[in-house]
Amino acid sequence: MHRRTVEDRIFDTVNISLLVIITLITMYPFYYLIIISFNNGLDSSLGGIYFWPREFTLNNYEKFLSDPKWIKSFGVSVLRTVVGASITIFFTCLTAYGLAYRNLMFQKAYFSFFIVAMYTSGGLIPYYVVLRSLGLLNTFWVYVVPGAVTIFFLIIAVSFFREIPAEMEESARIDGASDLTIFFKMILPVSKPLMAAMGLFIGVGQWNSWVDSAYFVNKDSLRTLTYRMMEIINQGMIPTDMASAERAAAVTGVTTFSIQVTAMVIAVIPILLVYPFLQKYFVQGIMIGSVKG
Amino acid sequence: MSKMFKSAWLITLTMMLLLTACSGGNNGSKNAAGAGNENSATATNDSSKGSGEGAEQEIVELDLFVNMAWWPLKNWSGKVTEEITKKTGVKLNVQVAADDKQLPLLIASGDLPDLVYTATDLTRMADSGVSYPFGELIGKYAPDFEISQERIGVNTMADGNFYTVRNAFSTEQEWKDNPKAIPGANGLTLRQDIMEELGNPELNNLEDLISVLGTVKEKYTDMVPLVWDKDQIGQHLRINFGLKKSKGFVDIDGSARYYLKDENYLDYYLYMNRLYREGYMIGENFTFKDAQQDDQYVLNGQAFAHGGGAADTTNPQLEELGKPFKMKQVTKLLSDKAGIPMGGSGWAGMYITKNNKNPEASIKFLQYMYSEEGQKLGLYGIEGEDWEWNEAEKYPVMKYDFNNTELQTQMGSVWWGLIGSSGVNEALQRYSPDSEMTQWGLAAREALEFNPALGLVTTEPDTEEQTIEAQIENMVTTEELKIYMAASEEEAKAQYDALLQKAESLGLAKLEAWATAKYKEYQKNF
Repeated sequence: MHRRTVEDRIFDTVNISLLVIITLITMYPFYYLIIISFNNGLDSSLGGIYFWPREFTLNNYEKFLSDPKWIKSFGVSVLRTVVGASITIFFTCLTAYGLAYRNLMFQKAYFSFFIVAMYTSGGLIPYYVVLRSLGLLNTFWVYVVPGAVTIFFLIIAVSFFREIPAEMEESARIDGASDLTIFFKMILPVSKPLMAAMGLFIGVGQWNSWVDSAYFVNKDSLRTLTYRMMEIINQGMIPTDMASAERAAAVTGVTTFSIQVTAMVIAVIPILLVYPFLQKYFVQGIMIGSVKG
Repeated sequence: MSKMFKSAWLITLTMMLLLTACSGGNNGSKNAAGAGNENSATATNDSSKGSGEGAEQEIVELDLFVNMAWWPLKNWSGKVTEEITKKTGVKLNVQVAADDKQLPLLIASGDLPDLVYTATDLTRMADSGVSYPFGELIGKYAPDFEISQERIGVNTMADGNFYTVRNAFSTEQEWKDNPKAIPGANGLTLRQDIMEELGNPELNNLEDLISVLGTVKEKYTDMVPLVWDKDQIGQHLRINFGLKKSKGFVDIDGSARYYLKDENYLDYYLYMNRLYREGYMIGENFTFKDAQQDDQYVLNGQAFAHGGGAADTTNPQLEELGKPFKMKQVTKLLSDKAGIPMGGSGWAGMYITKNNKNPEASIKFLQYMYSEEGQKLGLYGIEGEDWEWNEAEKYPVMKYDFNNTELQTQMGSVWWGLIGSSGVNEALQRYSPDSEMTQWGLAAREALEFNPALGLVTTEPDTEEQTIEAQIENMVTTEELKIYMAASEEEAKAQYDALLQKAESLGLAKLEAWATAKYKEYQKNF
């Protein structure tokens, strides 16, 4: 076994110390939000809170949890994340599987089509008009259908599928398997790292998205958690130089800022909890197929 | 397991295709703002009772897009809105904008809902292709809807129509007729205990203010003499110098000139520069990112004076925090130059769009909301239950904590104007005999200056004038700091001159020529 030299130890110590410092610096803003969300809002406005809540309270959370619209929005966010990620993974993989055939007719034309679509956009108004003509406005499907195929991941998936030995597929064909059987029974099972990585990216995107909930949906029952968060943040943006600027919230111990912070914590924690479970696949999944070997 | 996996995929796929197909059959013209309210296309028989008669009333549901992300009423709920529905037979499905791009999107895509309430896209909405002219609807459906000539005057567009009657507007005469109407005016508060320790020094003019701040700096070395709210830096002083803030035009020799050319602007800048140079305000104040930062100075007792502060709201907070001091409102004007330009033609307006499902119900609804009864219901609450009219002094006496915005949201009223309200009715609610802000407001009333024709001179979206104005505004926000923070009075003057020169190089002369022409055109209406 290699004997560790003094230089090794110094290097490790410096390395670990730096990483610990960077980790703390990175984590602290979020930790700060958490402690502020558990502190009396009015007391927080005095500042000087760094490590622990000074005046512990659950009032900020009570304000959210007592309002059923937040629970509903949480449900919509979970549903769109799960359904949206599943649909995108499925359709992206299905399309990529077809495109992965090297002898596919008009392959270059297909790829050109996708590349152009990836880099260009018609802008918000044409997009809105398309969604309207498809009848997607104000339906749950507006969250998941427009992103059913992600071209960025499509290219990665094509590359991934091309790495899968052609012999595997050939032997299945000899046994009488159809294209769909091969896709469902062979390709998808060996593509779990890819799907996990895609799931993480797309899931986080779905969870964080608020623009579609704001622009394309009006039903209160379809609002997402992040939209509600935007609502709360916007609420605090009442122009202070308006004619009646002197009016402020009554003294309740819950301030606009404490509510905003609590909303951020509530919106971030669920997706944060998913991350560690998928992170290992994420690294593996992206690397495989991305480098030509 | 793999069977289950495959089945799940297939079910998901089938469901998605089916539902997409179903939703594809929806009426394509149904808009996002209105699509959620599919029953609203026609009047529905609701179990709600008519006003006092017990008869079943037809409730018309209309979709309202409010182009203000901070609008407090997210839903048409609360006793006030219910009362409005009882009185008018109209229920609104409220959609609050997520940002300022949403309304332009709806206009461009032709997907506007029945009603739009906006303060920023006024000229875009005031277009016969987008909204109904009020005159046309009044003539057809509500001939008894009377609107004063002044209001028609300030809302009439170049095509001769008026498409809304903006709220927050009142004539000079209306202000005179309502002596308890308190205009919005940014205040200044001081530490009461320190003023007492100093022997309550005279505070009659701006020199006295400098003197008090100087004494505080000398005796309380750990304190910041003056801290400003980040959005109101200098605003209380602007009132004392009679200046406009950040936008618009002033009358100089009958011409509409950019607000920075007001002869008092240089005096204001030099005063602010002096406050900074003498250490009465801190440079950090210009970097504040949120409104909490100045509050932190005040609530912690680190600041003596609070620019933009209101003792009525700060003191309950100080009490709650157990602080042994209070803030006191400065309740007098500190200069004979003081002035509050009331040149505006109003603030936000309600538009009845060409997509409106029921223009008749809409104009009748607005007729009620613009009536004295409707305005007071929307602003104050239910008469007798929430407020009483003091007939002798002519102001509403509130029966609830009027500063509690949360309570108002629950009730369904909006203190700064629910749909239609006059400036005076909005201002009357601020009158509270025991309030320090009322004392300051009564003093500020003396400084009101009226010029509605000038207030009408505003640049229109997507025009060259607006581009010039926006470029100048952007430039001012950064260049102004150089004046505030100049090392000497001479440097501050030089920076002010440089600011005006930069504005000229951006096309100020062209903007002023356009503004003057408009100003003269609007003056004919008054």
